[in-house]
Amino acid sequence: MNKSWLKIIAPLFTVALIAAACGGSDGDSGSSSSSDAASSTETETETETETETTEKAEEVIEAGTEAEGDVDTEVEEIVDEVNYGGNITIGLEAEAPGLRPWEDACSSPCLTMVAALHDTMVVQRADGTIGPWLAKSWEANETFTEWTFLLEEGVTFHNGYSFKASTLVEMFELQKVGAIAAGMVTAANIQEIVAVDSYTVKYVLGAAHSAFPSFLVQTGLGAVFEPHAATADFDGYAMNPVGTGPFMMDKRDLDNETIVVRNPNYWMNDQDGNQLPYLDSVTFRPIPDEGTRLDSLLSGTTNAMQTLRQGTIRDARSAKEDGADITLLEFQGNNVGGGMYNLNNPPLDDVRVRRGLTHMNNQDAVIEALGGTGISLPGTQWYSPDSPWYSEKVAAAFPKYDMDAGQALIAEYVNDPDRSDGRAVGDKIEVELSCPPDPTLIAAIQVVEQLWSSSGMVDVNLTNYDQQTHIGYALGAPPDFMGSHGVHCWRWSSQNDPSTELNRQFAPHTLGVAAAYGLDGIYTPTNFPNYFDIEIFGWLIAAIGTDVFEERYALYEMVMMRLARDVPVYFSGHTATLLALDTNISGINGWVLPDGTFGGQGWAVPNLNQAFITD
Amino acid sequence: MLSKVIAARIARLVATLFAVSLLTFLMVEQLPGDPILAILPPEALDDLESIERIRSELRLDDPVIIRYGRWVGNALQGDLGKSYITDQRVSDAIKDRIPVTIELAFLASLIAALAAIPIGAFSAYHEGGRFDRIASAFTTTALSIPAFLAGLFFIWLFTLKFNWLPSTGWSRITDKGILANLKTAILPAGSLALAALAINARLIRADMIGTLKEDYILSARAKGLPSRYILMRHALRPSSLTAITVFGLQFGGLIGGTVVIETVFALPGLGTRLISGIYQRDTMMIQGITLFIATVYVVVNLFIDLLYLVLDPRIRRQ
Amino acid sequence: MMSKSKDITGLTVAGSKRSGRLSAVKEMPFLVKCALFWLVFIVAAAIYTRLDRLFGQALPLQDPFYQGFLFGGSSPTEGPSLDHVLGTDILSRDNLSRLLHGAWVSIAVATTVVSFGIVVGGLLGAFVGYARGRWETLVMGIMDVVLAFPPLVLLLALVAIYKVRSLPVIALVFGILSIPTYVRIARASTLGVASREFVQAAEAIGTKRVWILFREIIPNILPSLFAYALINAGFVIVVEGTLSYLGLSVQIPEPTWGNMINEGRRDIRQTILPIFWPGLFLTLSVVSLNMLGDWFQQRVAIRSSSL
Repeated sequence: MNKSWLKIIAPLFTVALIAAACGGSDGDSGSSSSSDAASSTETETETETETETTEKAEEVIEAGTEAEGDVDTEVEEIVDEVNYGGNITIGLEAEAPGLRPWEDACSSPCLTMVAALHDTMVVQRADGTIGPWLAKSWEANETFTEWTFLLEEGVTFHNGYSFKASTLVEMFELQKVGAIAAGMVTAANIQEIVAVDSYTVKYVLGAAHSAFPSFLVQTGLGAVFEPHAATADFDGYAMNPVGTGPFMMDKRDLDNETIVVRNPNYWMNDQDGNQLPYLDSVTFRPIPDEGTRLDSLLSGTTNAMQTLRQGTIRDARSAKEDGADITLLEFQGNNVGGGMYNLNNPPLDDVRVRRGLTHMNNQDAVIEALGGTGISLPGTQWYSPDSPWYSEKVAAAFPKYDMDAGQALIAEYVNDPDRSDGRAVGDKIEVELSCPPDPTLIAAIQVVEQLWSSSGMVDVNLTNYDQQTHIGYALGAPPDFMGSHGVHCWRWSSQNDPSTELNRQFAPHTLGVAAAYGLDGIYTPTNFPNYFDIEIFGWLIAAIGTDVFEERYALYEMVMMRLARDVPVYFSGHTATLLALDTNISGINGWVLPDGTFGGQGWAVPNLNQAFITD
Repeated sequence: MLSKVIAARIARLVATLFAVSLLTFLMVEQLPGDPILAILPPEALDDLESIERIRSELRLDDPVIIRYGRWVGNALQGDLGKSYITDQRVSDAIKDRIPVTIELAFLASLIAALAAIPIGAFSAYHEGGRFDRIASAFTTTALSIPAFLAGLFFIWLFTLKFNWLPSTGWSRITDKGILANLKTAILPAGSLALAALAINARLIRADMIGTLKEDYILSARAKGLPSRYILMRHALRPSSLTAITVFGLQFGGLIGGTVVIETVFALPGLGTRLISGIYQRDTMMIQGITLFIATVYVVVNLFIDLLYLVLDPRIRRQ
Repeated sequence: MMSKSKDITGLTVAGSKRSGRLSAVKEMPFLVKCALFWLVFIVAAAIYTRLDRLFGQALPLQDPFYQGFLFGGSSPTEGPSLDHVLGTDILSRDNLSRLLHGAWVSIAVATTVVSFGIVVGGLLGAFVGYARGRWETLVMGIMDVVLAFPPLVLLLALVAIYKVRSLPVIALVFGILSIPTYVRIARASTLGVASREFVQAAEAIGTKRVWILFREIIPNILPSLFAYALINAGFVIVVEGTLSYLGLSVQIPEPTWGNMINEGRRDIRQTILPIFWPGLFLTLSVVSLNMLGDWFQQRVAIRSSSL
């Protein structure tokens, strides 16, 4: 079978996303509302909830400012005196058995370790733009089909090999067939990589992509690994990675601890010319239990910890209020949770049903059930209010919690003699609501189930499948890959360029649909809602044909407006993440790029190359 | 005579293991859905060639019998395969985690045995008396509380209320020494031990009541020997046979019972690995761990059976 | 439970069971009477909630699914109040109502398993114990194999893998795993009964063996089966509670004591109450079954020793 059924699609879908996709990045163990000082708003009665919601929504709409309840920690310049030496121990969410960026699925724990050992070609700044790292600068040709990067010189791998343009060419051979990287290569449509000279490399794309460098931010494609080591021992590399990063692998004791030590030949110096990194070593400890991970930090067994759970964030905040000596670096990115409707499955194929159900979804209540009030913001689009791509127009257009409006729409469908689910007029509609059996998602779907069935017109059937099956249902089977799900828990978005996700997520979902629009062969099995709008597709393609921000913003706003109208998905809050550190650790918030600009934070992954211990 | 019995028992062991392995394998293989999904993330599924390549690498298209045979053959050599999801060798995962589970089961058995002796003995000695009745109420309750509930209650009491012990997590002996390890082990072992303790206490009591009625006890008493001496020296010893049997049986069974307790206390043992394997549909891990636990269970039972045979002269005479 | 009315013929030395039943209850020690009372309460509650569902929530009982924080009426984790006698859970649903509804799952599974065990296990064991020979070796061998499985692990794997959430199937799987012990007890009992004179006499006069099996043997092994059944029921309730604590029993939002404990776990740092109530109900039910089982076993022992 040839690959004719997939061509352009520019996916991103960071693997972190899939791992978090329904894997429980929502919070649990949230403290009971009555006893939490941080949630004084919860003592208001339910009758006020609705007005509160609309008020909150109006506040959220304000452009470009900090939205109410937003929790992101300010990025601040590092003022402490730099110190060399020391070790910090970080509590990770889980063990990551494989550290091959091009081959192994990677979420926050893995990303933390991979980032300590490898550098990427480019990095993302705090403001979301892409900045130099191993690649000093780059430019594209007029048609955005050729991208030339100038590389840092004098960079060596941990095993002594030099990093040159030819390294990238050799890496590409592995990336083309890597379990993770292959999809990204196809998405970015990289035809070949050419070493123009020792330190200049050219990527040749099969089609225009104005935001191509955003592919090289992600570890799957952008992390630079030593190709000889990888080919010499493909499986061994997972335990013994070789990169150019600030630290080198020292000891790997799976499920217990992984220790990395300073790379004495690290290529990067700080702004004053001192060689990085400052720390002697870093120890990573996988501590899957949320409570234990926080306790380890509070008791001093670890110096830092990461979490993607609202409940733990809540517990960390109250520990700090009680006097714990910790710094909290919170970040709530674009990543947003919710559920998708399978447009292939009546009655979800009718927009009245989808809009109706979305109107009946009380996002604030769901967030409260998740334990995230005051920690997670409700979502209305693929971006959080902090993102440059955020649009107030879309936020206003997305169906708000309005029981009456929702019921009216459902009633209209129920009384329609031509209703698509073939049932009699007046019969209830039946939907399946499915989430993986994460304890917090379980609470959330029970809330949604109550909300929808309280209308008296919806029969909700709750199911829980393990993550594999959950994804499998959404995926479906060849040749069409339509999926048999109903309403399915899911997560979307990342800090990266919108094109990296949207272009794949809204490509034609079957060959038939593709052919109908003359887009033969262009389809993706990963358009899980099975929603396609030819205009959206056109806008998405146009957005990667220009690098003018205002043009792209306008195009993506139109895309999101259309999604707010057709509602293929509903939201249940942005994902909050936290990095908690001892107060004597500095250099993680406020790390800078070689050009002096601030680096960003995301996914509770600390950048360690400028971390140090203050006195 | 004895050797015939032993041979028969061993034959039964083999048959049982065969059945267990077959059942485990079939059960897991029946899983609906494509195992490839466990290996490749969805966006990688766009690449059909990868799928076919991996499918043939893992020989997933071979008929069930052949795959079963291959799995068992490898298992006999100690190779239980590799997890599709985490890429970790199943035998490595088991090796990593078995110390925790074994220590837990062992500690629980120990607590159950040690605590049961005085309770059972004194209840028997004061049969019908106040101590007996209180102890009886205690054992009935201990028998009735599910282990996970006891665990949650202990956490609430000893960690959250009194702050004496850590609630979750495990400190390895190699990491921080015995004391830190015991601090993390005592609550889970205690919860696990409750039911076993109750059973043991009852058994010892019942056994000792019988023994205490024997003539030689009466004569010892008539001689004026102190009661405690009688209790410990004469009455306890015959009961120890039962105790050994029960201890052994319990130990094997506790290995399976640690599953839930490990989940409650977030211990890095076999149980949590099995549960996470079940949640993730990690087929190789589920098969491997289930087979391992069942094997231990069966082998320990056999061992106790044989031990009992050897020790108990009454049976040997059969 | 005491309402099983099988006539025990041929062996009624200590008075017929029927006339002795009421006096039996009177003879119970106080605690055992309490146990019986609790069980009757639980079974009645379970049936009541089913009726309530049947009649569309018309009977006086709070809705176990209604989340007050959404539409008014209650807030999460309230303490006891007039409206909500045992308070509310983390999603502001009435605790007492959920506990009573949850009783149904436990009772249903326990009853199914125990009935299955007595009927299938009892029949099989009686047959095998009476017929002896090759059948005995085969069946007991199979039973040994089934017994060799660590039950919780197997049940976990089975339920999780097949994602069955329907009560009948879970109960059935449970039932199959419980059969071996019933078979063993039935067989042991049968061996004892079969050697008695009246059985041998019946054989001597040429009564069909099947007839003997059903008329003489089975009624006499029932008491010991029943004694075990009570204890087994307690064990089943514990295992079902464990499974639903792990989220592997009936589908949410159906309340079970186990999944209520699981949900309560989230706020354990604040309050033990959401765990305490379902835990209490669970423990009391199992204690009651164990006490009744013990008491019944003593009576069976007394009875058979007096023969």
